[in-house]
Amino acid sequence: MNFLAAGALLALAGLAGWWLASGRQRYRARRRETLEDTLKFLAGHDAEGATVEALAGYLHLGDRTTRNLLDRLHRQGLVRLQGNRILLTPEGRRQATRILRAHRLWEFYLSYTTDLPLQDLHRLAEKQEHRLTPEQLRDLAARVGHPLRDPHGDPIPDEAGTLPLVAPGKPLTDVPAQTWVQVVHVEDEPADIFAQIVAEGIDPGTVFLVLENLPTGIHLRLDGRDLWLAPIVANNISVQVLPEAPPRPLPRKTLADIEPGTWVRVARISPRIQGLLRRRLLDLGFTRGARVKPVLRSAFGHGDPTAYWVRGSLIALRREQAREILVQEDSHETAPPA
Amino acid sequence: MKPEAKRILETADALRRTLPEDFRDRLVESLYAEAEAITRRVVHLEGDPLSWEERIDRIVTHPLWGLPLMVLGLAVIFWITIVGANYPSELLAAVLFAIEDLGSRAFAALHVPAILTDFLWHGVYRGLAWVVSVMLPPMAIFFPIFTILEDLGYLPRVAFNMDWLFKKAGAHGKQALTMAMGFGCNAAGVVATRIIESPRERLIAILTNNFVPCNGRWPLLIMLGSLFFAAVVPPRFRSLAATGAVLGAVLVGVFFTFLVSWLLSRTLLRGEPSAFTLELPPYRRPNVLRILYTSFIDRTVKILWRAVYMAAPAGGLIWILANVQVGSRSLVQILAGWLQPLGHLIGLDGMILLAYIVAIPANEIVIPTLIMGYTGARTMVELESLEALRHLLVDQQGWTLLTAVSLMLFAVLHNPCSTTILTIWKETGSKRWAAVGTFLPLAVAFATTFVVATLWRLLGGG
Repeated sequence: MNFLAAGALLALAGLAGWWLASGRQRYRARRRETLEDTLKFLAGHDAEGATVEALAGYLHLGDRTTRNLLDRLHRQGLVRLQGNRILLTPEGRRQATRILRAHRLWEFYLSYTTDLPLQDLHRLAEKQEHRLTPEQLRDLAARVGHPLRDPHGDPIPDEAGTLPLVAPGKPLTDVPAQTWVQVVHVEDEPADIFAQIVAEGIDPGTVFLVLENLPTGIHLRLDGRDLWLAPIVANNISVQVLPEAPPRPLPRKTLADIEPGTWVRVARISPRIQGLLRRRLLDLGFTRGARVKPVLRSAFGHGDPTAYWVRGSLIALRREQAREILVQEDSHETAPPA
Repeated sequence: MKPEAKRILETADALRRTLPEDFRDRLVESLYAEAEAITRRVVHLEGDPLSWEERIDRIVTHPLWGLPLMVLGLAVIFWITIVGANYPSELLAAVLFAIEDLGSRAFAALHVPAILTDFLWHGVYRGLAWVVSVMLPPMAIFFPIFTILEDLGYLPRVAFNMDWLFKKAGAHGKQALTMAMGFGCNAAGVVATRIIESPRERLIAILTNNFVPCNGRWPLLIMLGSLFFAAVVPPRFRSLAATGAVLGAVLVGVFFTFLVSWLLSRTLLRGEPSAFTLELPPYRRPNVLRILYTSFIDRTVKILWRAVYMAAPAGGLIWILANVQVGSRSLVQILAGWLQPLGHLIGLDGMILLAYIVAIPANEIVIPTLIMGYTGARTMVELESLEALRHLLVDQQGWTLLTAVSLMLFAVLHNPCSTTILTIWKETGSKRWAAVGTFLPLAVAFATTFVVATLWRLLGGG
């Protein structure tokens, strides 16, 4: 009996030890996350520095906790104070860049290997950025071909911390009326505004015409559709002004609009499709200039999915994907399939 | 690092930065352009390769008879399996049980202790023999037929036909293909979900694969179909009625696949339906030799082997449960007694539930465990005829149509076997999803059978 009691006690002690140790580990991990989030926030306000209040608001922490945090960062030589402004030291900036690199690389990696929607990437990268070691980051970058930009169009710093040169963009709100622009970057925070932008079909690379720029909103024409964006939304879109209208009128027809039996040519895959899905569509043969013919419409889904004859094979796509493949009339209607 | 290597790396890095944004697109374009140029030189097309395939595609995806054709095809496969497996099953059983006789007699002649002979031959070996004779013939018939469909290129058309329903349920059309694999073995079906690229849709396919009854659960469905549904029609139509009952059970499973997929994509696995691309390969003449090889070696033998090493310890466990006596009753009877109230609530009884607990490693042994528990036999017994089985279940144990319906529902919906659970764990890398994959179907099974049994009793049925 004593034997049993001793055994039970030992087991309990072991359990308690494990619980304490894992709790300590969790606490440390969380503290590191807060530290790294602070560095990231400060990096975003590098030019003018940030106030303690702004930082506390961003981290959802009280003033005292925030001050303790800053003390620790100061002792580690990562931040310096200038009046009531907090600035990063060179070392702090270096660490912040590393986290930025982890975040953006992870976003790219996810979009490269999974079908996750763009909106989910940021949330997942927010967690993963704290967990990747420098070696893992190096492997990751090599595996996805050293990308220069994340799926939102943000530059990915290299290992040394230098940012690749990115075409300078300006907020959509600063663009005069009647100009053609190309989107270079879409801000992924706040999430609800980002979701709205994505839902309108605006991504890095999208080209459209700004019709009017009014204090109440921006009026634009995109792939033949007229859109109104609120200024708060337009402010999160950076664009590059194009010197002239695109040479060819952008095609308005997509694969989803084509009647069965009609041959068309692929003009381009919408820039909204990135990563794994884009590569898959390309691999299946939906490249620029490829001849495509809708053959089989699902009778039950009213043409969703539809099977297309492309490069000698029959590929079924759902309407959501067919809508992202822009096509042009094929001038050689009677030519045999290539 | 050598200075030269360093320079090369630096040049590569500098060049990489000058690449246009769409260099990946252009790369694929140039590859295809090259392939096209080669094709134009060496391939000469005669006639329209599309015409006859298009004609077949129009039939199998037709709005009126596309779906009936699919269900009919499934029914024909079940029918061939049920009718064709009967005779070889009996033959195999006769041979294997004769070996048991020989073996136990040989042990007796060698003066091996009786309890060891009993345990090894009448416990472990008999469990094995039962599983092999019940499972091997249907598998040897079902898998080749199914592989023919796969080889023909018909299965992707099924996925094409069904995608609109999967889309409504927030799932992926390729789930239809993984379900087709599930008919053979759910563990194989779970592994097959790797063809679905989106993590969310893949998890849905993994968690619901179990609602397709696998090969190991068919003997029970076929038996119930023959006992309770075929018995009430003229002898000529018996195999058809049994087929109908099995088909009905399968369709219930398919219905729950969609229902649970729909619920999952609105609760635990919320999210947008992801991309769907599916190749509809050209129809091909099946390669008979390869079909026989892949269906027999890759599927039948592998799954049979798994069943064998799961069934042997289960056979031993059953033997122990039936032979350990507490007071005047065996452990089997005592445990079944405890489970009786719960069993009754869902239209079953305690013995059936106990059989399902014992059969977690392999569902194939549900029937032999049941018979053993009911007859009070110390070992699994083979009842000679369906009539004897009917006498035991209906006349002695009081099974009704409700018992049959509830048992069929439970068999289709309940938790996956231990191999499938392990496979879910391995494929998802998460114990939590393995737990969901286990308890979600179990909850669905209990809820469904409870509702059916309660309504049945309220409406004055058995």
